[in-house]
Amino acid sequence: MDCRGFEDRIDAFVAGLLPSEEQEAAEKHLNACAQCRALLGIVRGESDMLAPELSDDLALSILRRTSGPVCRGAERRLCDWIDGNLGVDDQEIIALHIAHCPDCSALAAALTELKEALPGMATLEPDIHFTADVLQATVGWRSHARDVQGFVHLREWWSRLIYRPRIAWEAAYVGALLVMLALGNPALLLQHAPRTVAVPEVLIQSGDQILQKTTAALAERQEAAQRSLSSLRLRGENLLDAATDFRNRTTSSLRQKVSAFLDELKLEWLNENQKQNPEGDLR
Amino acid sequence: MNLPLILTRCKAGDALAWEALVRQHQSRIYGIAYHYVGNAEDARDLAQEVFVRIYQNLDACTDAKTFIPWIIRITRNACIDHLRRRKARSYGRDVAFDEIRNLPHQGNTPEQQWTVDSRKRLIYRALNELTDLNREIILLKEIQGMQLDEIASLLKVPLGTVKSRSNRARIELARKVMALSSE
Repeated sequence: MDCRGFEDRIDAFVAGLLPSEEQEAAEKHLNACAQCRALLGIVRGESDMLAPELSDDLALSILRRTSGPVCRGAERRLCDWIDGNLGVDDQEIIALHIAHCPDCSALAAALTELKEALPGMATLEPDIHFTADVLQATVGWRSHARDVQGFVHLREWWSRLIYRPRIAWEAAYVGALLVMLALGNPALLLQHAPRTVAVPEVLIQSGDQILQKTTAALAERQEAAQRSLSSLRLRGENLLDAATDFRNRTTSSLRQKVSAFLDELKLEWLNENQKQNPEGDLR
Repeated sequence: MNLPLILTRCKAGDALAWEALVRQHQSRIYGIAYHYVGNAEDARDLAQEVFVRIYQNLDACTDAKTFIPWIIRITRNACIDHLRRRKARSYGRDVAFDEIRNLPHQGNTPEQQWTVDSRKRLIYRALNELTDLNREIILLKEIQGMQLDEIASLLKVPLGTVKSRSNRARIELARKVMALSSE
């Protein structure tokens, strides 16, 4: 029997339900395998690994490595748990979680307290004169109200209308419409306006003075700009001449140097040729 | 008291039946109004206005079973109108619960009553830190004991939203209470 076979039969082995052949094989395997002996000790409850004080940590570490924290799921069903709306199994499952989770336990305690306290806040006693005031405002009204039901409806409609936030805009719009209806279109008033307007002499004179000053200032500016432009043009031409002169001088100088160099080369070549062939023709 | 009978008598103009109805429901309406507006004076005026509206529209309530949701709806609408008039729906965050003049007395000793009141103040503070919708769901479901479908109809939100919001609001409120208790 190997380890896998022993693990499959371990419950039956502990209960003594294995056939004699398999029992012997299992015992033989146990004598040879330390891991299976340890496993048997755990199953029989002989090991310290199942010590009660470690169970919470063990459960938490298992949850951490498998499904993750479960408090959020418990929180979703906490209200139903407190109200007793869950099934029996779910009630027990949530109760088990709360028994081992301090946070959820505190939350459940707060929810329970609220469940008891909130209905008690449904009523609040007004002062002793309240009933008398209400009766004074209502009794006697009803018999009279039947005759003036239309007026009441109108008053309620007006109250609803007047307390809306956009009533100011609507009132302004209606007011403008009423003004137009009463006085006519304000644009029509412009039709009767005089087409020519007599301008005072003082205004004309001051306008002329301003125009003259502006024209003179503009002319000065234009003249100054033209002066600057011609000066710039002159400088540009001078620069162009200088550059042309420099180019010509450099070219002629280079040409002379190259010509002299070629002459020297030719002379050297002739001398060399004459040394090698003193009798020969110079070609 | 037999509510259908009282309603019938009120509709017939019986002033004593109307007084009984007012006395029976004034603390609930005043409590709801206070939860919405957070101010004792405004809550009193609103509660009175609500009773006037109820009185004027008693014929509209044909079934006594729907009377409580009906008056809660009227109270809520009156409070919303009031808050709109104030140009804010802050639900009275600025007002402390200490301003309430008469806490409902539950027959406890003064020490027990003080403990109960301090816990209520704590819960009121926690409620004021919730979002508007969560606070309203807590008010209607947990405090006033309305059914989920009635709340969905009143708030004009889907039933599923009210269900999920209800549990989340309770959890949020419990956490706020825990945080305030530890301060």
